[in-house]
Amino acid sequence: MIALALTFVLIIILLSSLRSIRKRIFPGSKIWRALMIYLIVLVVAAGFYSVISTKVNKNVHYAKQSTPYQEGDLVNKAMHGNIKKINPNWLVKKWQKNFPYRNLNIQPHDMQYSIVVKKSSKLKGKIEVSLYKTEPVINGILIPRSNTGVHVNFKKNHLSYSNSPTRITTAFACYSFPIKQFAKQSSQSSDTQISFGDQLLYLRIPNDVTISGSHVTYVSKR
Amino acid sequence: MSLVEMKQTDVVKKLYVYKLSAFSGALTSMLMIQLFGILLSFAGVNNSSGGSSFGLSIEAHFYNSDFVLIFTMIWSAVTAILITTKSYRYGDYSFVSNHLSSHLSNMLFLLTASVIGGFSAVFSGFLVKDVMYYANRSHFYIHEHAGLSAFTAGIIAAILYVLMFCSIGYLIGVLVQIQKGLAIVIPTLILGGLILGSRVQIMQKIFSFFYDESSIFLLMLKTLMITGILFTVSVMISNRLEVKK
Repeated sequence: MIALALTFVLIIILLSSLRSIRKRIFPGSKIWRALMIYLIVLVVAAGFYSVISTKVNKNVHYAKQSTPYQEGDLVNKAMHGNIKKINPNWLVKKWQKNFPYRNLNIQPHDMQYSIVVKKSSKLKGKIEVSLYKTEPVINGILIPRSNTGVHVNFKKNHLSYSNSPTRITTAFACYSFPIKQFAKQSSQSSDTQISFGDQLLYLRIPNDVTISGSHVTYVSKR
Repeated sequence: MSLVEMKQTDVVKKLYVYKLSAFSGALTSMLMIQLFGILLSFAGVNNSSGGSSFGLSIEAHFYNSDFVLIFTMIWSAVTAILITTKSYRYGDYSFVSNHLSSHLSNMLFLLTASVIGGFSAVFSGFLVKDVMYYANRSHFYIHEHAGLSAFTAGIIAAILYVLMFCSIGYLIGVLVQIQKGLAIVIPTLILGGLILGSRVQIMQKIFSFFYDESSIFLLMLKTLMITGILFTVSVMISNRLEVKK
């Protein structure tokens, strides 16, 4: 509101200063010509935009309620032994390592992951680590995920993981307020809803291996 | 004294045509104000950013023509105030006119300015988005789900809002003609209202009275009624003034 008040003052100043110079810029009938050119430019811009929007909308995916995408969905499925039901697109990387040790020490770095562990009798002397990530969502639009900056390291029986900072910059075209007022299902709230998505480290380890160093959740079948 | 009696509509028509040319400077101001608004819009409106615990930070920039619309509304109010001032009114006396024809031609001019202003303000959003698309091609998204009917309703609403601001400005202009002191009081009240806007309930109620209306027909009814009342009050107050001071 203060910004609006300042804008109001600024425009008043601008308008009063314009009064003296505007006649020099567009004397007489030239203003109508200038105005016509301006309106034509705007209409042409609208035409361009319709082409752009068709192009952009082809690549935009909306996080609808019907699609299997909800916050916490990834971790819940993994926890309840439904890893195969997880969207394969969310798998970033999979490692399989020989593991001759009895204990796996997980060292969290400075980042937080959900870690779900499944003990398996089929794995002998090996462990399998899968990293899953879901896309961030801004106002219902899925933003392509960045797979860079993920570090998972093995050193003897130590597993460490970290994420280097990743920055995603997005630009959104949205309607101005009078159109938003009449757009169906459009929230008139100006708040932006950002969901960063989930990250999951899913481990399959032999039955006789124990885990230390970090809080993990074991798979419990429902 | 002329023996030819001119019809009121002819006088209004002549005055209107005269004003389209005489007040064309106002349209220059509008053009400049809108270009200024377009430039500001390139910085984005309602930008958001945030970070997650796993090192992901997201910046979201939103582009539309809200700035241009707000600037156009302020411009329309200021223009309406200006055309009630002495220097603008004197032009009317070159014609055989009365108060009513002068006001009617002013209103027609303001209606024309509102149509041009409202239409161009909404369409300027496309220019902003086109430029921002080419500047952010790899990460450009469209967060719009409005159909053609909502878009058309939006343009009509924008024109009506601009016209309503014209009527507010016109009333202010007429009031200032009666009492010069109001030239200080009214801007102070407006500024105070804008600063305290979010805290004063009446401002929120006025805002939601218009903005929460999702039917274009009801919005038209509301805005045209308010605009009509404000213009009528302006004419009635103005009738108290002398024909020419």
